[in-house]
Amino acid sequence: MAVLPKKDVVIIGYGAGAGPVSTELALAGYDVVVLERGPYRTTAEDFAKGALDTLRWNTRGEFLPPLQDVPLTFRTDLNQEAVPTNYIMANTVGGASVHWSGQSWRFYVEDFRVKTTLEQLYGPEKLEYLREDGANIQDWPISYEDVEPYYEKVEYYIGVGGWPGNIQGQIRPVNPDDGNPYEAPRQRDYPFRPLRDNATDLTFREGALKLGLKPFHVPTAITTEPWTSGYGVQRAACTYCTFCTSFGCWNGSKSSSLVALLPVAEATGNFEIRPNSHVLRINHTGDRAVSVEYIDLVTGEVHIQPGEIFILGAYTFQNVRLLLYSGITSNGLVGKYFINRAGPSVSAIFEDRYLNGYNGPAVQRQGVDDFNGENNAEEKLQLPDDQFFVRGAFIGSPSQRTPLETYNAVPPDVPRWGAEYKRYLSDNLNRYIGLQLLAEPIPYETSYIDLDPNYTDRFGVPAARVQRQVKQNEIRMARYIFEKGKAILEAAGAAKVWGRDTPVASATMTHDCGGLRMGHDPSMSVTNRYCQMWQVPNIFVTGGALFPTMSGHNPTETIWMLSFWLADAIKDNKVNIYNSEDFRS
Amino acid sequence: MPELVTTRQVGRHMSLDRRTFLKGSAGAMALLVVQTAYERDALAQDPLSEGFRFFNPVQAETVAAIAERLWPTTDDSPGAIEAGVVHYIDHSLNGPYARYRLTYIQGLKWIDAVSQEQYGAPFRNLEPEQQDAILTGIEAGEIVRPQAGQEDGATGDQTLSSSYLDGLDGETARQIAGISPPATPDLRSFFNVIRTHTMEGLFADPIYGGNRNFAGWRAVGYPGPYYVYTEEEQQSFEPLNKPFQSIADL
Repeated sequence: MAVLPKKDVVIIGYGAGAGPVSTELALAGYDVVVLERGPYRTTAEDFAKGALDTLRWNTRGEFLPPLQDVPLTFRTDLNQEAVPTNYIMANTVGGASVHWSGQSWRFYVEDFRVKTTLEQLYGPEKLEYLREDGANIQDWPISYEDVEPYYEKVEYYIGVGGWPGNIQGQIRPVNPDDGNPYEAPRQRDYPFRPLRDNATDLTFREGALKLGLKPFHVPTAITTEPWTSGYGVQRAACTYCTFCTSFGCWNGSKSSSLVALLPVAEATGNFEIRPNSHVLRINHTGDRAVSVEYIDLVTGEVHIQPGEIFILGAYTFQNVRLLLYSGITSNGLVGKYFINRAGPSVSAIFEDRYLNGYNGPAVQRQGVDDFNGENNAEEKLQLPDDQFFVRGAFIGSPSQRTPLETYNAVPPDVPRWGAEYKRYLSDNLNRYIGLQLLAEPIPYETSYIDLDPNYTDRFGVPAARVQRQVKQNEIRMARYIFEKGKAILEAAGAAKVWGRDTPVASATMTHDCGGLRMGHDPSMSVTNRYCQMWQVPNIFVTGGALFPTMSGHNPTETIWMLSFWLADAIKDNKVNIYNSEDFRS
Repeated sequence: MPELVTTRQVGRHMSLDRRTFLKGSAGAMALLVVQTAYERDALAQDPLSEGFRFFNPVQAETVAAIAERLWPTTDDSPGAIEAGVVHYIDHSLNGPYARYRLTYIQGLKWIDAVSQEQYGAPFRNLEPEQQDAILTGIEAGEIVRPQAGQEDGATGDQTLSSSYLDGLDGETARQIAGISPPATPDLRSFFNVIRTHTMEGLFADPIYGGNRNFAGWRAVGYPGPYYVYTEEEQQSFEPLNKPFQSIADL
């Protein structure tokens, strides 16, 4: 077991979360090393020569986690034993930012203060059912105004395109060339435009407009024109090939830590990434991390990497598991308040048109935010008490409907095999829409990640165990959002609409957040507002694990934003790595 | 031995042809040498005549019979056999899906045993309606395993993989689990596996051995991978009718 030379910054895992902070610190002269358990796949070698292969990347999931190294177990019922499960993340340099869809949002102003917003809008009586269900909703320790410049930095330095909906408080009208009128005010327009509309989008938009909703094309972290980032990285325009979600982009158009940030960090000369490096534990003295122990998965050798600052950059499950296995529990708060998606589904076919959903990346979509966050608070207040719910969902119209990805998307009255099934797919596969209904989950006391008592990985480290429930709020929201999605498709002229109006809890719905919640109060959170652990001040956290609450929007832009925010906190000496502080003033 | 004549009808009644052909086994092989050139061409188009890496002939025939019922030959479109699905599955079991080998060995044995119990013949020799009845019963959970299958070496040793162990070989699963996989193997789990693999054989790129002559993509109107779609194509509400192509054509 070799002890390696000490580094200023040791980063565990390289995905969306680790990208900005590692690049910014390397540019600032810090000596940075990244330990990433996945292999170093590149656009030129791995994606340009074999990306358009749905079986390889999607069905067989070449990126998916090797369960013998990073096992996960799952249960909903705390009285049952958890069982091993697959889940979605990407085992590769760049992590899930390599195989993601590229739907890239700023959170709403209210998303950073959900607790306060709900209390103001609805009062304690209306919210009693949430307390009964053990909801634990907290405001973030940061405001939208605090972090707006860092959202802008993501858009201009990593690459996000969109139509603006609200520039400096001026709300744009509903128009194909305008954006989400509900979006939080932005100081600057996007650096380029989002993907164009396709037949599926035009159809969805038609239905939404008929209902008086405010459809817009979603912001997309995919370059739609030859573009040079704030760092000087040159990117090519998307060609709409469709091999997008679950794929690495052959053209480098989809923004990721791999294509947008890693080349900048590597060019500094004081940044090193070690792929195939699986971190086993953090060695610490109780309130100070000293080194990490990791195994080189190629040679089998175990190394000790000492450092001054340690940054968790792995996926939520692994960040939590590593802390717990290393004996860092923050008084039992590490792993608490896990949140991920559990929503309904709505699908439809059209008889009067083909949609050809096989052309168009998944994120080429129109959507509406009329039912997201508290945008529909007045309507919700009119619901009977047993149907009332808080928060909401974005509803959108994804594409990327190739046969291998869509052959199971048949209505319940159609058999799953045989001549009738074959006829159905022949007639309808290219007339299919399946909506995205991005329901916001609520953090509960009983939704958490811990170490599994029965299952270990091949190194003897316990598996991460996830407990996750759906409760009244999710059930009520699912029914409501299902009806809204159905109405949009019917208004658009769908011949047949079907779906599921109940949420299903699972460890495989992506957007796995919470577990290392940030906050102002050390007795209720794991990190302070600068992502610094209260218990061990030289450990910093990146990724969705920091989120106290979710949003009805995809999390990646906020993960990148928090990482830029963290980088400045370290560079500008806002934090003391010997003493974590409460920065409320 | 009329079967060599019927192999000309490629795709139509392939499972029937292959059934009689394979029954002839050595005798039929001897006859190959006296075929006409036309017959050899026809046979070359018969995906089941090419030999397999994992399946023995009887297993291949049974897989073919099942896959053909899942995606049958219809008036205007080839079925799973002509699409090369059996080869796709065979190639996969010889590589990335090695973990499913026992699932197939046991599942095929059981489905034959069920067929014997219900109709007095192995699955591949049943009429299509009888085959459908068995598959329907399995899918509905009404046929769990053969009556005689309880002591068939299947209950103690977990030979059918369960979905949560996807991605793991049995040894690794036990190592991780520290305990035996708890799921009870049944024919429905085999059905779900072979159905999934049949659809993969139809809709995966032809470089993987199935989807021959783009039979799967042709049936559902998917042209295959293209690097570029234009605005006009993307906003069309009509079929695009682009030429079929494979990764190999890019």
